[in-house]
Amino acid sequence: MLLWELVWKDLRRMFRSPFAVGMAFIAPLFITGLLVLAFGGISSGSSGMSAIRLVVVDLDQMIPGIVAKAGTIVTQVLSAPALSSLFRVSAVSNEETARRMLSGREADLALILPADFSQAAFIGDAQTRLIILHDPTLQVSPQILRSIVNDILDNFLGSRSAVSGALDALQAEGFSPDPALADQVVQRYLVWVNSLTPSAGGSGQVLETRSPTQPVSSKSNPFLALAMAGMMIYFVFYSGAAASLSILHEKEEGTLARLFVTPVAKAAVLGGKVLSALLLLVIQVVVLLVSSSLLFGISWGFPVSVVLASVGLVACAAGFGLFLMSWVSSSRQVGTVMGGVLTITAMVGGLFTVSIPNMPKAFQTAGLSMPQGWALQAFRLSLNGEGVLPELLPLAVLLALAVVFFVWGLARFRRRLA
Amino acid sequence: MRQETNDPVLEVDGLVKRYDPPKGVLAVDGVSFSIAPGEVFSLLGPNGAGKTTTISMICGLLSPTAGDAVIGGYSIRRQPAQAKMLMGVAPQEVAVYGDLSARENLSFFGRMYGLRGEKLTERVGEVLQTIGLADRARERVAKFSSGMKRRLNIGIALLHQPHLLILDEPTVGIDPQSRRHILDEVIALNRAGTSVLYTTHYMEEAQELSHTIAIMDHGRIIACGSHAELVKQVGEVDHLELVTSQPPEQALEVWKDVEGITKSFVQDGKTVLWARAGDALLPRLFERAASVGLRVLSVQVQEPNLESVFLHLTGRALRDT
Ligand SMILES: Nc1ncnc2c1ncn2[C@@H]1O[C@H](COP(=O)(O)OP(=O)(O)OP(=O)(O)O)[C@@H](O)[C@H]1O
Ligand SMILES: [Mg+2]
Repeated sequence: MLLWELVWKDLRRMFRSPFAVGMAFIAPLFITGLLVLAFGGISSGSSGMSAIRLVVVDLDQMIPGIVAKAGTIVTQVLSAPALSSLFRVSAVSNEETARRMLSGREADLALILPADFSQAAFIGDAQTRLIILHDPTLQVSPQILRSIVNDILDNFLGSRSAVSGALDALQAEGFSPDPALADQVVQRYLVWVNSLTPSAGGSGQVLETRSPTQPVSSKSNPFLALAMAGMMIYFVFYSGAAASLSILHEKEEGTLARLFVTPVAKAAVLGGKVLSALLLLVIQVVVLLVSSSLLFGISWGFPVSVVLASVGLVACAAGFGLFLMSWVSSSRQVGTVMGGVLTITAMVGGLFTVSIPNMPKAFQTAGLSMPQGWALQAFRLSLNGEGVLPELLPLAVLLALAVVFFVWGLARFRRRLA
Repeated sequence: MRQETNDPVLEVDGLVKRYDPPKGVLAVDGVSFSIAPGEVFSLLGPNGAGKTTTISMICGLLSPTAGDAVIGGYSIRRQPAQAKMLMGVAPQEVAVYGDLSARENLSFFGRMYGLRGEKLTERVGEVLQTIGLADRARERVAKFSSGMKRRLNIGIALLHQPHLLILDEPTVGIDPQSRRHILDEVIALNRAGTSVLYTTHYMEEAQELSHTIAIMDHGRIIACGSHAELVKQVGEVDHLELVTSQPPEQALEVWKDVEGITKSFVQDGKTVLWARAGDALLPRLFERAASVGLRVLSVQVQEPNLESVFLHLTGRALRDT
């Protein structure tokens, strides 16, 4: 009851400080949001939607005698389930409509397939142009579209050169193949390509593995989720330190002395500080997990694993903050300590490099020399979809560190405030 | 609920405080006194005399190097929780939460003293009235003037209706109006039965408020008693302030060896002379002045006050230290 009064006072003060709220809730989401924009995963104007809205204008004309139409194949490949998290495709009949949708921000990109597209792709006797229309502020998503379309076109060119190569070889051997045979070969090849597309029951796997760009939607991008985890851990540690900084502030403002002249035990006053730090961090982690999954589509893993990772993070960050502040003699030094120690330990812990793909394994191992590294490990496991058992190791390490930090930090504070 | 006995509300016995022993400052050097129920007791002393250190030991904030303080029968060393419950302390430096409102500050500290529910709401309302902040109760304290903050600082000490109210220099650095308000408040609280331990380095305040005054210097109480008792210590001496046409230093040279003068100095552009009472001093002074052509513009015979007591006991002026 009394503890709750102390905690409630601290939480009220914390939530009335715009700076504290900004650092606890807004900064981590904002920085991750910037990363998302840089990756191009979220298109401008779409709120909370990670797929690029693509309109296809298919003006392609069927070539007599050939069963497939290049325009249809491209459209179908782009709408394949494997790419559904990247593109949301809709078709319109003419360029004007597409332009209108772009300027009305109903679409992010438009792909125009010209009338002689099949002619150019299958027969190769026409010069043609595919046109990608986009908002000039979009940089990344047009690139992605272009490389995927190029990839599809390579298939056609490949098929054409394969057939003509075969024909040339036959001719060199003295055969004079029937032009009808060549037609047949091309037709069969195109039927096969067609079978890869979903409408024909194919899986589209071949195209996906060949695409030169990783699909960038956050749902399928583990690096974005890890980046968010890194940011969350950094700012939860920050808030843990800020919560214990309030002990120093209250000491300097004299309100701590004032509490000590009331009949409330000194242990209760310090206990209240610990409890309010823990509670603040719990609120922070819950808000960050929920809002990042809503905003960026991050799925954090099995609920039990996420809870275990969060418990470890909260306990360890609160303990570390208390321990850190017990070494700071006045709140004037705090800028250096917060900026320096928290940032360096976070760096070594790997929080800032986590979203860089293909980092050497040694980095991850070195990160485990810091409490932040273990917190990151806990969330990495839960993001990988691990269950309870693998979570227990990082959880145990985080809780053990928390106990050490709490005991040591509290002992130091008790001595200082005696 | 007040104790109807005559047992002292506070009994201080041989308090000593040495900061950072063994070589640190000996801030309080064996202080003893007691406060009777309904009494206003002032510790009067210059900066650094050890007033705050003494109070900090009484209210349990500092552990004494030696000695003890007993509040309503409870030793602050052995039964701190009970002892603290009987005291309300307003620290020298304002200690309130700037980002909470006046009402929130009062409610929070009220709860720390065990007040709950209706009783708490009632007391917070009453205290807000007493300190004249009822119409600003919802505003964040950070926006208050320093006088308002000081009043809130005192208000927090009043919530649980303590037997002993401890005010450490409550009027430092505020405007005369707020100062008057605080002094009147202390008088009213005392009329209602609260005992008060008050520290100040303004002798006027000590004189106006206190039943008993202890003069402190260098960690010791050098004199203790009612205002009348204290001034009696220097009361046998006349205290004259003269203004002359010539510079006071010159007048001092003329008068300092006149018979009967015990002390002479210049203060605020006046020549100050102490002399044994009863002598026919003034005619002799005028005679001497006339002989050297010194014109006396005004003469004031000063009532002895605490200032003169301090000067008498320490050889230093209270306000100069
Ligand atoms: N925390 C401390 N550590 C070391 N010395 C201290 C400490 N607090 C006070 N002192 C010293 O103890 C002596 C008494 O200080 P104290 O604050 O009790 O005086 P005071 O009478 O309250 O003065 P003031 O009128 O300025 O408030 C001073 O010499 C002061 O420098
Ligand atoms: Mg003081």
